[in-house]
Amino acid sequence: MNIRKIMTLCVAFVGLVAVNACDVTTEPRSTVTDANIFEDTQSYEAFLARLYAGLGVTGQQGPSGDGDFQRLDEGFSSYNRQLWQLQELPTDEAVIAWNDAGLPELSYQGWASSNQFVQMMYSRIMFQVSMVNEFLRETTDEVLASRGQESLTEEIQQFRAEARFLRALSYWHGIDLYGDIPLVTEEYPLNGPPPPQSTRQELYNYVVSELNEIRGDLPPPGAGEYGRADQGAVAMLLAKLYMNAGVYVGSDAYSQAMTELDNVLGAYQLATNYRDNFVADNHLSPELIFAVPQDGERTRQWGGQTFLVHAQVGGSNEEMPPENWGIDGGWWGLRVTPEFVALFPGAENSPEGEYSPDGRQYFYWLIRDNGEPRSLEITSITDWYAGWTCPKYSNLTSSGLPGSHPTFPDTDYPMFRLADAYLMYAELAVRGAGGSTAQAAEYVNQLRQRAYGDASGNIGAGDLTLDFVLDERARELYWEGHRRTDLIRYGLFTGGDKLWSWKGNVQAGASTSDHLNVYPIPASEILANPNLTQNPGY
Amino acid sequence: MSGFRRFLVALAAVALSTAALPGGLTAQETTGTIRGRVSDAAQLTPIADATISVAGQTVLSTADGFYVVEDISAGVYTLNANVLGYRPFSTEVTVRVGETATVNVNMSVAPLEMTPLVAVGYGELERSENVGVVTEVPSEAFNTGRIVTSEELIKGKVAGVQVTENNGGEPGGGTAIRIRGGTSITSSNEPLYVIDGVPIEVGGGIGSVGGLRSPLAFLNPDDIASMTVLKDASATAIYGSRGANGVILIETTAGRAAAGAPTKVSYRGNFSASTIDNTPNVLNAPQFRNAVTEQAPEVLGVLDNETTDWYDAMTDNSFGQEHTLAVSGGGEKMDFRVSLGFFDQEGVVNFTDMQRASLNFGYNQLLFDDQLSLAANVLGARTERNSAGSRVLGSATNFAPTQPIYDSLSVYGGYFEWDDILGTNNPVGEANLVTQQEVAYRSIGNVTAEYFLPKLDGLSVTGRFGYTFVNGEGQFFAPSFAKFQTEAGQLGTVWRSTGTESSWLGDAFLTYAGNWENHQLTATGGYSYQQWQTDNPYFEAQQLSSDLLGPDGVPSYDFNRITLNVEEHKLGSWFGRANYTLLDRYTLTASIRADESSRFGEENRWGYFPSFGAAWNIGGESFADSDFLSDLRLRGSWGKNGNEAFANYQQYKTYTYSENTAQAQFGDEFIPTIRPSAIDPNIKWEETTSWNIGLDYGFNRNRWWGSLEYYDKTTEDLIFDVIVAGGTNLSNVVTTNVGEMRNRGFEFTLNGVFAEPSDPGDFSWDANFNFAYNDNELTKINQFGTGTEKILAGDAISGAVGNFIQVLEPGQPVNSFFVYEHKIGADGLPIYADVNGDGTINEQDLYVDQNGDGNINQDDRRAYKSPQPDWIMGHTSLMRWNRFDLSFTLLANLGNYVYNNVASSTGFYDQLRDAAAPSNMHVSVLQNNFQSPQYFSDWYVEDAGFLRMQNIELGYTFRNWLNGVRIYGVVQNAFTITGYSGVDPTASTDGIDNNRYPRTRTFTAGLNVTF
Repeated sequence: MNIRKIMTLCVAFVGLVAVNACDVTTEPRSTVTDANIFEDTQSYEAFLARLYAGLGVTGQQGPSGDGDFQRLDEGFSSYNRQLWQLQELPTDEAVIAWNDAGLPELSYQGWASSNQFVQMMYSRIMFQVSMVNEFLRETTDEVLASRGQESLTEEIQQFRAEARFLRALSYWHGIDLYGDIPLVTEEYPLNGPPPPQSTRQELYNYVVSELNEIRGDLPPPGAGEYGRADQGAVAMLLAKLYMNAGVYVGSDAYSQAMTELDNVLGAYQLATNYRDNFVADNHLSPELIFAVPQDGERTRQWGGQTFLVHAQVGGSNEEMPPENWGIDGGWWGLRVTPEFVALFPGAENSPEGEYSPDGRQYFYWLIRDNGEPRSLEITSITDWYAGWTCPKYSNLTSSGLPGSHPTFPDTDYPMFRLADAYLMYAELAVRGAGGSTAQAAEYVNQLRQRAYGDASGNIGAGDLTLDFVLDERARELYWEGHRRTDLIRYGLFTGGDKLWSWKGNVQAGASTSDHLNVYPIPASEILANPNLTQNPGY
Repeated sequence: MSGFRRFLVALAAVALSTAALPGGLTAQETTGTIRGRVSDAAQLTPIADATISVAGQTVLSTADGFYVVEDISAGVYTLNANVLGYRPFSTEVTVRVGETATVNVNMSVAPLEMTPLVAVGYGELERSENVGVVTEVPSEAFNTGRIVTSEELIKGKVAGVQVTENNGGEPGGGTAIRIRGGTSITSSNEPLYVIDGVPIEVGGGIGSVGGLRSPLAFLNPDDIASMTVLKDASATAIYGSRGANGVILIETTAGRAAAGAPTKVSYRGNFSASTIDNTPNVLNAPQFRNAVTEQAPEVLGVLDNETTDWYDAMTDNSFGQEHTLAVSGGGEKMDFRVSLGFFDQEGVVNFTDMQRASLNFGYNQLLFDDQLSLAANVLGARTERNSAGSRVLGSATNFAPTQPIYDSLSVYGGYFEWDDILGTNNPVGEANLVTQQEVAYRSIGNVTAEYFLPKLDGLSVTGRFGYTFVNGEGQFFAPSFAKFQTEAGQLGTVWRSTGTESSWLGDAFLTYAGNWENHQLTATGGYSYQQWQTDNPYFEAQQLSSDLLGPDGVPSYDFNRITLNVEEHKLGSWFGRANYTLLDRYTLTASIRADESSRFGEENRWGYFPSFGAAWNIGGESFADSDFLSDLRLRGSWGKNGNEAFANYQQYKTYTYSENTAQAQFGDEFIPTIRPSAIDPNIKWEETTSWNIGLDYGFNRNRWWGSLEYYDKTTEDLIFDVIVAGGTNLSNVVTTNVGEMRNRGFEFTLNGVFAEPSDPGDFSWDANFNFAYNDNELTKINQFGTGTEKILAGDAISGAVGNFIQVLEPGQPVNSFFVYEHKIGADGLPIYADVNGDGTINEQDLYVDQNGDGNINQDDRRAYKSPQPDWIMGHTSLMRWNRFDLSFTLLANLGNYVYNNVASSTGFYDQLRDAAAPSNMHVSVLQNNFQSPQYFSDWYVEDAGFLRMQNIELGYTFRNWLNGVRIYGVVQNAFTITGYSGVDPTASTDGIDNNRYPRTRTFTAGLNVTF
């Protein structure tokens, strides 16, 4: 080998390396990209399923892993866990014993804009909105045509309507919880600039018009597949919006609410047993209008019903044997306030067992292992033994068999059910929005008869007052995520007109400021979007 | 690079001989000769390549250490001998006509000596030419004793370099290095390691696959010749988008053998014993029973009458051994070194250990009249690590000491367990029942050819082909009856995680070194390409039908998870550097690197990273000529660096399929889902701009020398997960370039000879002191930031779910603690009483209402202190007397704080009130009397400054055995002085002390012998 050859080799080597390496582009190999995902037409249904799953799971692995959000505990990031916490913990229906940062503040209405749960719910709402928008962008007729998939147009018409329903549902939660938030539609570009703030009125109008537009593309009430939206869900959502219009936009729309209820009332039936709505096979209940399905094998998460079923159980295995709820152990968290207990006549004085003739209460185990009674009073929010438990949800089926998994309940989250519609009817009737109080009493008595097992708890039309309906809503619908909205509609959530334990961070209850009727826009969101103005008082 | 090094040595030798010409004597017809042998004064081993200068001639010693200088006129001369790593040797010699004077040169090791050449990226420079801040630590100065991973070798040795074991004393528990503070939040803060010219993937790569969490865990410390730390932009910018956190160049002994060396067999071996230094301070059984009796008598019934020390049950003294057998040798034009190493270290926690077997090979060959030098290097190792499960230490802290370890009636494998699923699990049971092992095979190697072009003096072309390879396999098994399996519904778990990462590297560059009268120019330029591929298959099965197969098989199961992830990373770069020196006094340097990385988004394909520097050798000026001031050199540099150590494919919108456990129910069917990702399509490197001013000094003929540096680094386009405006992207956050931080500081290094030997065997004492101050400040975290924003950061603490104790806040150091200000009572303890008389003890009573709104919530938490030390100080002393040598290394940090999560998560009486499973408490509860946990109290943020005697070594050399036998003993972590109340103030870099693996005190005795 002579020097010239070596030099040639050197130059060749340099050249080879440089030429070979001039392109460093590498595309993902183990994941699909937007360049090819929709070549598989199954992807459209899978994307729609993901929109629904936004209410039911927290990421792409169950129960956790590959979460939808970063920087937040994945179990905490669950849509229906946070919806439940924000709707129930600040009310008389629940306190929770845990010390997670910001959690006790929910129980005593002491949250700040930096509260992580306030942030998570907001993120969940806007995540649903973004995902729906992206789905709508990927499924326009033009886009389908460009992919040569015109044949799918008809099927996708309903998919798009369902997606828009889910967006409307989240926007309803948004205006209910946070007030003025940005209205972002599919017209708004992904990765675009921060959107401007919209008003509750604008959002309200938008949601109403969306729901009316999509209605025709959905199956009739009760005819949709379980777990998916149909016209019943649309009507119920519209009724909810109209019912609370006074809060959202300052002018009542009770009669429109009554009109919407008409679409629902005849299309569903009450379950025979009250508890059939809250057990492992509650998907069989004919009463559910829209539910978030949960399954021990297929939809695992640490939020949602996993949270709800476990958090209501605690104490020693002898005090509250977890198998009585079909689970492998309690999380020692949720209790009810004494003010809530007082809604059930006779409950406070019951020594044990049958607390009240009203079968809708599940007050449990007054006496502990050590012979001491569990206190009715909540002397401390963080003491599990202070306050009664009321484990309403169960991972046992209606016939008492365990669900498919002891950690992850099969129990679905009943977002809208017929009993709610009955009580909305009753309230609207009392408010003079149509219907009749006789029919209202009839509806209420159907519920009470189911609760008491006989007619002993029935009321007359004359007993129907707004206060009665509010209390009845608590008895029937407690721990189903309605209480905060109800109390605000009645003007009782803040202020001093209605007090309960730990409202205002004192055990006796104290008046709170009205600005708490909406949650703050999360501090992190204010920073991410300079167009936003914080809600007054925060 | 050995050819180039030799070239420069020769160059230096020529320069030296010209300067050292004694003059005065005229040549006579008859002359004399000087000959002799150069040896290590302690070991009496021959020293090759020593420069012998006498009477105007300069020769190099042979591989056997012999030298001959002929044709010397009669007279008295001063003979000077110099070689890297040894003190200069000087003696008088009388030459008589026709005679041969024998002068044997016994050279003493001078580990802290300034070396004439410094390693820089893609070459070496003479120290006088170098402008960058470069500190070489030769093997002689390494830390000694039980060194698990090679990062520990330079701990305390280099100013501004912080080396921290991520998990205390766990063998192979991971090591972090911060050079002049971290520059990133979510990308890696680790330096770039370049092993014999082959860079390894920053912040992971070859080191992290297979769970051995240190990049250098596979290296046998005995095979490392030197580690060189490049700190400022002038030195690191040649590494472009990987240089922002500094660069550490590692030269292995295989890459440095000397041609013509005699065949040598050397053995180094040692044995060690380790004891546990400190354990968490929790209540013992009588104290615990007392506390229950007083605070929660209702649960007395569930207590047993045992006195179990759970930590004691989990730990034991541990032993270790290490052996290296090396054979080296060569002929006139070639040399080689082969070494075989074995390392075995038990951990003090039962069932933890690490083993390493390594085989390394180096070969150098000169061809074509020495114009072509070929070097080949292959390092390979198998490492194995066993762990006891991640929760056992926390469980040992928490488990009630009144309970027995064993329970013959237990359904949990015979171990006592609480019935409650939330009850602490028996750590002895978990450690015994779980199998967790990581085995990795790694190799790194390269072939480098350097060709000195004939007829073009000083010009050489270098080609290098390198590779890295690692295959790591983690395996885990837990039987169905283990408590933690039943409570999580897993009912038996087996998983394996197999990771393979391979990379190849091609470098081609030209180097020119020229010298005309008053000008000196060194220039390097070329192209480098490196690409990595990782394959990560994983399977996991749960709810096993049988436990009999253990970790080695999968019986039928009810749940499984299988994943496969294949990724690539490519980096192509042009680079160049020029150093120009005028009159040996004025030096200018500039470098540039252009990087094209597969991780950069479409609009940011190329990143450019320039640097400039200048140096003025004031000591060389005539006005500064002084015997006292032997060296004075002012340096300044400016440059840009990048950090591309973030995840692959961030710029692509990908869709993730759901597992079958995370689906949506449509009717009776479950539908798998797809989820698009939130991305920033234009993501790019983080960019650090830094400048540095340095002063090198030397006094009294460099008996005292060192440097002073001041630096200021600003990092822009910090990548982290930024909360996006709701509705604008497909997650709550997107990973993008937002944010800015700054690190400023100074470093001071002093090396000195406290006692200089005049004859071999005299007492000598060399010492190094290094001090570094760094001030870290986050300046921007949000593109619309107003300066008031805060982002919770760090890892979630132990205690309630999702609690974060650290914050990113402009104006504060990164990851400052984010806590309430606890009101302090007259007794100096944190208040725990119903101060406001509302009937309960709550936050209003305990904490300062910072915003005065009458409510205590997150808005009243404030940034308070940070885990990063303000000051890092190190001191090394090395003393020799006769055949003894004594060395020690001290290390101190000041201004670093630690959140004592062990105390905060267990130091309250509610721990006892779990009727079904009362938990043990940290002793602080006896003093603080907290009933409920106070996770966010600043009381738990403790000053963790410390002074540690890192190692003390005493050695003795027998000169008359073989070629020298040295025996030694080392004590590591001899003592630690700290005000920190937890187990170890240095448990981790993140500042959260959460049941870290306990630190050990290790006693090592060893033997080095050469045949």
